[in-house]
Amino acid sequence: MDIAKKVSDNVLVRTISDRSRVENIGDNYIVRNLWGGLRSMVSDRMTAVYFSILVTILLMGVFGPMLAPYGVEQIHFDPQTGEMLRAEGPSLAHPLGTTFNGYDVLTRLLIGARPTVLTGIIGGGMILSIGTAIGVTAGYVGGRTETLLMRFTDFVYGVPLIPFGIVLITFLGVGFIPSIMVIGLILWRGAARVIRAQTLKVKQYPFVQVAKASGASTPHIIFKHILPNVAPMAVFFLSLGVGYAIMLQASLTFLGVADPFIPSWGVMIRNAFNSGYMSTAWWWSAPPGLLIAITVLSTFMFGRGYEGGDSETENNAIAA
Amino acid sequence: MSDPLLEVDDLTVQYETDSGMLTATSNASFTISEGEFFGLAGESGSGKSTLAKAIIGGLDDNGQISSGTIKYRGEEIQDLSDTELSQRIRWKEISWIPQGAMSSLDPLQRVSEQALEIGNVHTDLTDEEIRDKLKETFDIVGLQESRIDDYPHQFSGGMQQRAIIALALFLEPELVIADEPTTALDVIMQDQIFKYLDRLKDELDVSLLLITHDISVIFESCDSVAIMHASQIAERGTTDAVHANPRHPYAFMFKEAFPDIREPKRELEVIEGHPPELMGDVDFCSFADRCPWAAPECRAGAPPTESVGDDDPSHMTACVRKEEAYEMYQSDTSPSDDGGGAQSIARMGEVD
Amino acid sequence: MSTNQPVLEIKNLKKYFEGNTDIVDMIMRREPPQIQAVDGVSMTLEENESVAVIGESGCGKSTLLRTLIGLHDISAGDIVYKGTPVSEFDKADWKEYRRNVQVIFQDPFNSLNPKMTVRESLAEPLDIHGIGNKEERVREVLEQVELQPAEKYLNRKPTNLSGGEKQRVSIGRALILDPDVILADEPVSMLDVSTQAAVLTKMKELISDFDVSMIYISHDLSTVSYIAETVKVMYLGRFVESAPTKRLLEDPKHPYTEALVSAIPVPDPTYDRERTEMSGAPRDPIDIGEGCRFRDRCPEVIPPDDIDIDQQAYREVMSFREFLEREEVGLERIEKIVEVNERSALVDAIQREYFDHELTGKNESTLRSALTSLADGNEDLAIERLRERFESVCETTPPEVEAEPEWHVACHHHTGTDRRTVAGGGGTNATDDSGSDATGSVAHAENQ
Repeated sequence: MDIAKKVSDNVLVRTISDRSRVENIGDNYIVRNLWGGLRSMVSDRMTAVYFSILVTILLMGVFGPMLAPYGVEQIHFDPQTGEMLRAEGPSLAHPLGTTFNGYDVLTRLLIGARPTVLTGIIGGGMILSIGTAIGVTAGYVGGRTETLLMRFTDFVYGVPLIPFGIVLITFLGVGFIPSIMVIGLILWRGAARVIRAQTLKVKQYPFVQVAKASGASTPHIIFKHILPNVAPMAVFFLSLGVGYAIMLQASLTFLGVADPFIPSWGVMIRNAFNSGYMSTAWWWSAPPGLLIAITVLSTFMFGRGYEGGDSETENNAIAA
Repeated sequence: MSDPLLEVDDLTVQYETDSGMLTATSNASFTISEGEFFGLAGESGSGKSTLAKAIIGGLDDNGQISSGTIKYRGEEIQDLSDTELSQRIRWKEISWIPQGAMSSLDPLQRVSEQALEIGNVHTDLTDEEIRDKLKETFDIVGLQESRIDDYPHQFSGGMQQRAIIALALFLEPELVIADEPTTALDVIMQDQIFKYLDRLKDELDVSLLLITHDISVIFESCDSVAIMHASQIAERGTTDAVHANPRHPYAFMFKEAFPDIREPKRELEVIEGHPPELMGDVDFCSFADRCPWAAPECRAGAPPTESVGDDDPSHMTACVRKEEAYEMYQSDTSPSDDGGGAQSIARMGEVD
Repeated sequence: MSTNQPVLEIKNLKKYFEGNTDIVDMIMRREPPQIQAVDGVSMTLEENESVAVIGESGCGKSTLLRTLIGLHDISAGDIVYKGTPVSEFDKADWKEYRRNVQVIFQDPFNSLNPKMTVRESLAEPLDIHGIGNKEERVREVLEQVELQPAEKYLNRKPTNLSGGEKQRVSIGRALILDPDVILADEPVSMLDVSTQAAVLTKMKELISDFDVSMIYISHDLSTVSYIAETVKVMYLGRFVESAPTKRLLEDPKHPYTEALVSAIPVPDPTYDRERTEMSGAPRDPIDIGEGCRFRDRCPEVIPPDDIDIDQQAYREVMSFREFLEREEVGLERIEKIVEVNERSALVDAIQREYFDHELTGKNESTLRSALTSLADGNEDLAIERLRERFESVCETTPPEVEAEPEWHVACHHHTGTDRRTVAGGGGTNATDDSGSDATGSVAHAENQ
């Protein structure tokens, strides 16, 4: 038998031939899956639209402060009367009007993009990473570990977000980062449950069993088999997480849990509310509210689109 | 076996897809008589399930009957609305057991409740009458009458399938369409179910359209058969005739691909490739690319369906080489090389 | 016999699962029910041998396969790989075992990771065991399973492969490590018929080229003759018959095998095959107890020698008694079903409900008196009365005997034991001492 040279029983041949190394980064398993996911999803036009919106918002976050026409706490005065421009409507100099304190709304909007985006990314990221780590571990390892982790998740489910936020603030002090932490430390619970369920499902598939039977180690199976197949669901939760984080940070700010001086969009709405001018100075409260809504909507829709575009996991039914 | 019950004539069923009109069934014709068991055979993708769905009005939203007629007791039904089909035809005249039917029993409802639901929608019978009818059919399929009030999970797999058959029958339809009813079952359970299907034929004079890829079951239990390949009916006729004298290459190769327990060493036929997906009009023989005897004329136009000319007047085939293909196959002649997509016919050898 | 040791020896292997306990059981501190999926299986697998294990769903064959590849822990018994028992394996032994024992599963759609290309799926076993030359080996294997040209397939993902092509990749993956043993779980049953033959041929060819032994698990007896020289028939966790394929198909000895073979459809409209006599389905493999596991459905269950009774009537009586003994049927439930609770009418009603076949003479009177005891609420007495007259030898576990060379059956029809007689006061079964240890004990291994 000339083919498949028989490996002798006691010696494992370990040769690292050049040919077996990854040819280029494009061949790498992880990169290919992410990129492929993006591509297949962008081909669906609606999802591409949402994706573009998100990219725009991201760019706002990056470049906002550079594009802002004025300073964030620069008070503006009427050039003629010398009076502070309090809650003035839109004008040429101030396309989105001014706030109660004479700040330019557009400026604050552009500058406020960054903290908002950061909230989304950090908050969503925390939800994703904690949720996935716990979900996959519980689902794959099973046994007592699973019971422990899932009971803990149940416990976290019982923790109400706002009171927890208030308690945490007592220890950490009011601030931007603490407010995100509140969100990240609690909201991973939903992701964990669903990803655990997904893991259980994937674990049963024959290709995982074959890998196990072949002697694959647990990390190997988790990284090569479980995670890639759980990823679409995980990305979905990432986008949900981003959306929630932004919304909730706004609510937390409203309740005084977050730092009111960093003008995220949620803070802007809070300030508008507190000043009493919320309904009259609509140019002040509406834009941030609208932007939050659009961002959150886009993240949700994008996440759904990504998961739905996952054609590979769809089983082809034996149709007649 | 007397009057025609269902007549399908030149039926073409297509699906609208992003890439165009996908043809699932192309110019299909066959007839099922009263009290006749008719088998529709073919591999996956042949269009047999689509054909069944078209008859009962169960096509997906993007499916349509592009041409041809379906007559039930002489009346055309292919254009009837969904409501009309529900009121007049479904469950009462023609009932349908879909593929993977075991999941079609609602796990939250007792079997009797599901029967009541069906009965109330499609008939004017009282609840008591419906229960009685269900008990009768339970008896015929060998389930205890007292069990009509059980939940589906209280039945074993084979019994669930029988319960589904009972549900399909209790309103005494004339025709039952069963799509792969025993595919997931073990061989003993399959035999049990066919025992009851035989009894149905004897006691209720029901006709059966049996759709399956397993031609052994059709040859054994059906009176007539139609063999489909990629939307076209390759051959049809009584099972006796088609078994004794197959003319279409797909028909005899398909038949020979199945093992026969009486000849455990017989070489099994292998058919290369798989059925193509067809877009638009099918004006050629869909089997040509897989056929060792394909000739240029096979691709020039859809082969006409013609009588084979043996004792069975209903025995038809759609092959331009029907006169010689089978003989060539039997004498093991190498395939002709006038342009046919011929691949070597792989054979399976015996185990020593 | 060759002097080489067998590649794999399975010794009285058992795999039990714990069933679910409900709250009541927990409060009552009852033991959870034991699901006896594999209950005493023994066999040897020589080099280059292909053995088929045939059985219906629920017989335990899939559990057996999973235990053999190490996905389940063994409950009792042992597996001996090339002379070393698995129970004595260290980590290195396990690694070697896992390299040399490969598996092919049934479902082509889920046997390959949908996110991995063909190349990656095939290379995975090599990665796991640190073997180099990956590209070369992957291409070689693709050639062997006839997926050519390799370029066409290497970068494809499973969604772009047909069922047959997917299974070929699975076969290639099983072979790429050049294993000693391949365990195949119905690898072709989900493929189209026209593909089945091709894939089976290819497997057979490769098995022989690679000098691999195979255990092939299936419920389909009709294709087994193409793939295996020996067939073992499995029922409710045990082997009931084991013989060379051809001879088994022609003339099966065990009533279950006979039922299986005769239920296979014959593709010939002119052939008049009788439908199966069997009813029902295999029991749940829970708390089965002793005795032949097939006796509740066996068309040839053995009544005591000295009573004269129709086979089907006898089976009804036996089943009814077993229902009572296992507490599956109690007086209350019966009363509900027959909707009668007046004593004399009750006896008639029970008889009508549970017994289709008529009994005569002493059989009938014994049954009536037993049913009367039952109607009185005295279930134990009813059981006793029935047992006294109707106990069958099949209620002891039949030992596996070698009825002919290389042919083993576990059935009392072939053990040549004395049938039980209705002695005054319940004589014991004459075969009790010789035969009733666990079935599947390797009685035949001594015949080498």
